[in-house]
Amino acid sequence: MKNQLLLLPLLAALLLASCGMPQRMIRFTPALADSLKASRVNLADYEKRYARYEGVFLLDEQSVEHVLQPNMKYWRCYRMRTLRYIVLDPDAEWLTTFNLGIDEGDQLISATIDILNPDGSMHNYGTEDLKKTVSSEGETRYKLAYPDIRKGTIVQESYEMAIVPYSAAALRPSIDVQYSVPVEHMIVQLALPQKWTTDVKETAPDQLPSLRSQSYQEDRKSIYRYEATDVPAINDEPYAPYFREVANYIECQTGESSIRTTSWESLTDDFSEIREDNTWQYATVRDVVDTIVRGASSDRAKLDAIIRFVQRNITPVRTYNGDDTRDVLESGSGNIMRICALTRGMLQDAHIRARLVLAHSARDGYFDSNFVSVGQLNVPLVEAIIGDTSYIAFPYWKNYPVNVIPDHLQGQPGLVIADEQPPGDLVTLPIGDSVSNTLDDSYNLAIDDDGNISVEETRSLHGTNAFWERERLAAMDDEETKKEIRDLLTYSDGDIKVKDFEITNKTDYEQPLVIRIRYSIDNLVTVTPDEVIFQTGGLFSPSTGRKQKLDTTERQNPIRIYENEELIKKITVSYPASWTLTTPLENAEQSNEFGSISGTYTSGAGTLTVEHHRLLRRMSAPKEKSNELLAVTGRKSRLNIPTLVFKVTR
Amino acid sequence: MKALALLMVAVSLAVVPSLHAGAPDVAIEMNTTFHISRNGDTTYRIYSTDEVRQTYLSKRSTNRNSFSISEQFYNTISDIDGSSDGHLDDPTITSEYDQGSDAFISDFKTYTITFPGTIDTGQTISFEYRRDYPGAAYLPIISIPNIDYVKSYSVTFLHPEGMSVGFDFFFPDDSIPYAIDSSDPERTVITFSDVHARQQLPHFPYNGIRAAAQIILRDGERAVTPNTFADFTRWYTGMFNHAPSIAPAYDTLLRRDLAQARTDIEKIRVIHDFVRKNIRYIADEEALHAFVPHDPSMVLARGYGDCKDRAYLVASLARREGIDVEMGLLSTSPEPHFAGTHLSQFNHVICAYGSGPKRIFFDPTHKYCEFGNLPECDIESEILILDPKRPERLVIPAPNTTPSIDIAIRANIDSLKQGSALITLRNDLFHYGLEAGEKRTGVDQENFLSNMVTTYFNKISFDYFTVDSRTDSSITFRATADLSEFVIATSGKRYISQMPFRLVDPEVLERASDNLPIYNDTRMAAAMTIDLDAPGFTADSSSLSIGTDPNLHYRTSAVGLPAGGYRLSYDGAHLAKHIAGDDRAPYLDFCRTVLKLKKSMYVLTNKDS
Repeated sequence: MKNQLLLLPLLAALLLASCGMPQRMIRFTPALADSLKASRVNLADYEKRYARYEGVFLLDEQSVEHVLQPNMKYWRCYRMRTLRYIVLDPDAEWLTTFNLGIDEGDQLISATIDILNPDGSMHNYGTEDLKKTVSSEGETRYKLAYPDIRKGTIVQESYEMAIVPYSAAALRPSIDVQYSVPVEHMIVQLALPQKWTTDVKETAPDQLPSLRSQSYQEDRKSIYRYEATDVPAINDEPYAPYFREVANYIECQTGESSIRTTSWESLTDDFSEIREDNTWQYATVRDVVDTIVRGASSDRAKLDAIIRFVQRNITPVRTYNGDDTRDVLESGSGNIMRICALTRGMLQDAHIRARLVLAHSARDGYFDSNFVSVGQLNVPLVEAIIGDTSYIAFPYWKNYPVNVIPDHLQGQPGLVIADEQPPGDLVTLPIGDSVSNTLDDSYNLAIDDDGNISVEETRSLHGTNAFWERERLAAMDDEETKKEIRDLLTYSDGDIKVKDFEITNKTDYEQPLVIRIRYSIDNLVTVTPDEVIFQTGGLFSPSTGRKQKLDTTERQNPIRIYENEELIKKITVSYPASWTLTTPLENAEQSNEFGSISGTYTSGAGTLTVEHHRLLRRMSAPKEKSNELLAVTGRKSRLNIPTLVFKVTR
Repeated sequence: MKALALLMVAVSLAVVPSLHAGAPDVAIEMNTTFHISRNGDTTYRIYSTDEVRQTYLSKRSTNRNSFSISEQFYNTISDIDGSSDGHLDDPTITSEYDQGSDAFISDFKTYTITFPGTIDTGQTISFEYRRDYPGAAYLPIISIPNIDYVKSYSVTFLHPEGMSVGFDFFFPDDSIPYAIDSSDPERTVITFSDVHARQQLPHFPYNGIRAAAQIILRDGERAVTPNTFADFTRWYTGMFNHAPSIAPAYDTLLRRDLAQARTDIEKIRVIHDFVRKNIRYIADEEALHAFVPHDPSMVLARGYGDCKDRAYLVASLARREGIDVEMGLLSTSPEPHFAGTHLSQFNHVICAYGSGPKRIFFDPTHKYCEFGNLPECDIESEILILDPKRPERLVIPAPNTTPSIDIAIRANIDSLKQGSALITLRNDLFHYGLEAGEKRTGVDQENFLSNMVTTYFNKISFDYFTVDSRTDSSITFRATADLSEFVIATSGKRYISQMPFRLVDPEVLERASDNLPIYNDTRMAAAMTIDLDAPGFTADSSSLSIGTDPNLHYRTSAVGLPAGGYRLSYDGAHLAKHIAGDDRAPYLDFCRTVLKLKKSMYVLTNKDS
């Protein structure tokens, strides 16, 4: 028996040998020094043309190849990349180092790095030169810092990886073909078994990446090739769409026809384990739900109670979908999909109709409804339906309020994975209304004869603003809260004395978070015998934040404002009756398609009332409209009142 | 060199620790046991076992279920385990190599222990692990964190008979009680109990700790831990060649420039400028190189290095010229102060030349910092000069007191938005200006410069920067100055503030009620003149002066110009970093007065009114 066992490895080796090596059409051909030398460039030209960039990609050649093993049922996937670039800023670490992370199960087969300096000297490195680390999550990282990099150095990185065959990277390749630096020559090749079907995602309505396909009967392969030259960089600009909403990329999915999903409805079968998991109906889960919703007077209150319970008690972890919802509840942890499934089940237990939805994010670019792929749907959430109203919840984000939807998900499609009714519907997530991002501030200022100011500042926060502030306050004790209150003050450039403060609706997520602070300021008012100067110290500024010029002539990106933003500021100033306001204040209003900005002023004996209102609308617009955007977001607004002057009557 | 500081806190308690002086949210008990045994005549085998228990006292603390522990090659971790008092599943333990710090390659690793499930008030979780140390020099500083409530922190040393364990303490404010038990010749225990958190204070550098203690081991008469400056310097410099030769391939490097340099100082300047401009900043901190520099020839060949690599290269190139340049270890933020020193007290390396008051410090890591100057983070830091013959610790003086921002504005009272400004930047602002010129273009560069300069002013903004001139230590821009908000117009008068600068952080006034040291991490000196053409207006000359200390003063004046108009002059210096003891009260008075000056005005009166 022992001898027979010894023979097995030998037999296996012979079988493998007879099968031969996998038939690959795209060979990994590491760069040769000569070919790299041929790519020497005129540095001065590049410095002039690309002054704002840290480097330029001269060639980016990427490929994904699936290889069926001869006479065998399984296949392998290889990914290769050759990236050649010129370094224009040697301090840019990302261009002067090799830093590659690969997922658990993937394998780096080889890597070569060639460096050509402007003086013709070369350095060459291989896999053995890379520093390798492995995290407990299985990610392997390879690193090398390149020596002797100068302005004008050309680097060529080539590597070849074996990808886990059934991984997302193998079945749903997603490849950027445009970056934050220019690319002179971009090539992508996908070499796939001929009998496989391949779908390519549109990157905009009716806009497919221009992939040319060619069949090779003898090799039973199809090669899809994308090629582009002089690809401009995507610049980082304010009020711009997400990167993949403007950049070119190739996203496709491939596989044997028999395992391909052709409809959104059938795609939900991939989640049948979750869909059919009914462990939430078990008594142990129901008992927990009963306890949580006890005392909740409405379905809305029950919804809040359940979401808050899950958010606070279930820890999201990166695990396979294996556990059922009951396990997730009992262990206190689960992956985010399972947490959503548990939440949905608990809501159903509380007699609230709920659906588990996988949503598309604007960060992933355009949603192509004809491209049936789970790769387009990366954000699980729970939609609860009470009466005619639907409520969106993210039960794996601690304390995140119900029905506050992040901007990248607003108006995006989602696929119903589990519902009382048959799943598979594509639904559209709601768009947040302006209330969800309103800052509503009021200030009551009382100035005495000596010029000391008592301020009562009331800030009302809604939506995500309220969420983040509540998160901060919840983690603070009294001392920290006092510090936070000081940091929240609109005016801070003086010896401020905070008298007291009050926080309302700190835990009532349904209501706006209201923070009322009373404080005094002693260095803003100058009293002279005949005039009083009140330097308003930002209290009267209609907008806050850093001043930023917008490049309206060289702008590259279209304009995208993801959420309505509204700022309402009401200021009441009371001052001694012997003072008369002499600063001319005229009501002003400006509006265009991006929004509006207005200021109204009412003065009476000893009082001035100011109302500032700024609204920025959720919208998309061509870059040519930048000047109009500037009119309502500009760095200096004519509504700003830096100083008020009063005449003193003795 | 950042990794050096990581020894300091062996255990980081909770991902978001609460630091406060109110009722505690958690009670923490920590036990560390160092096992020390002889391994030959002068070397020792050392490992520790660490146990941490956290009891939850408030509802809001119960979401703190995650703990992190950091590891370097010289304090490797093993045998991590965690448990709760029966109600939670076993914790998940993950580890990750550092990807976020400034070290591109390092062995720095973080273990995260996460307890799943619901924690209730009154419950306790605990975890433990083992650390192995390659030698006594790597023993950590004992640190009592300023966190909630440390119910007890006990450190036990199991050591050979004949070995003594001593401590050098640092208390940032009041001392806290401790007990040392060395009754057993093979066992020494130090215990801290009932340590409550101290309130967080602005401008106080030790908010993170209540106490720190340096471990001092002696075996008979012989020092085991290198605590003294001499022992530490010997130990540290013993890990690399203090006088390495540069590879022959670099024999011609800088030859011509060095031949033209007439003095040692000029030669050092040549070397310093070469290194700071040509050696890229990439930190390869693999293994021992977490704190030991790479060979200078290797750094030259690579063309990159971190602070210690650069300082070592400068010292080696200078030594090739027969000039003694020493490396110096420092921390860019205040560390606990001990009579001796310790590896964890440093996070940066620079160079020093000369001795006594003529000693020159220079920092070849800072690409844009000219020879003879220093980046702000180095100034007033404690530095240990690694001169094997005469190691010493001293405070790095400020190389100059010249204003970092010096502005001359010409404007007409009728067109205040269109003032023309000449803006001269020096020191750190000069360095930022150079960097912006090199790394930014177009609107991005304009936004950066405009925001950087405008930040220092009340109601004056500057736009449309173009370079006017440049010297080795300054850059001058032409820009538009908008004074329309600064000059306040009424029907018959113009009011102009006597304080245009943001010179003082108002938060520092919150320190009036305690007596602990005050620390400013940045200093500022600024000067400005405004030549204001003001036809039809008249004003009396006046001036104001606060303070006479070159490092802490403010002066302003308004005088009529012979050709008409007025010159408004402003000159302020807030160059004090460490303020303690009797200096506190006058310092806070200065800050209070300066902040109030914002409402003091020069008045120009219309002759016709």
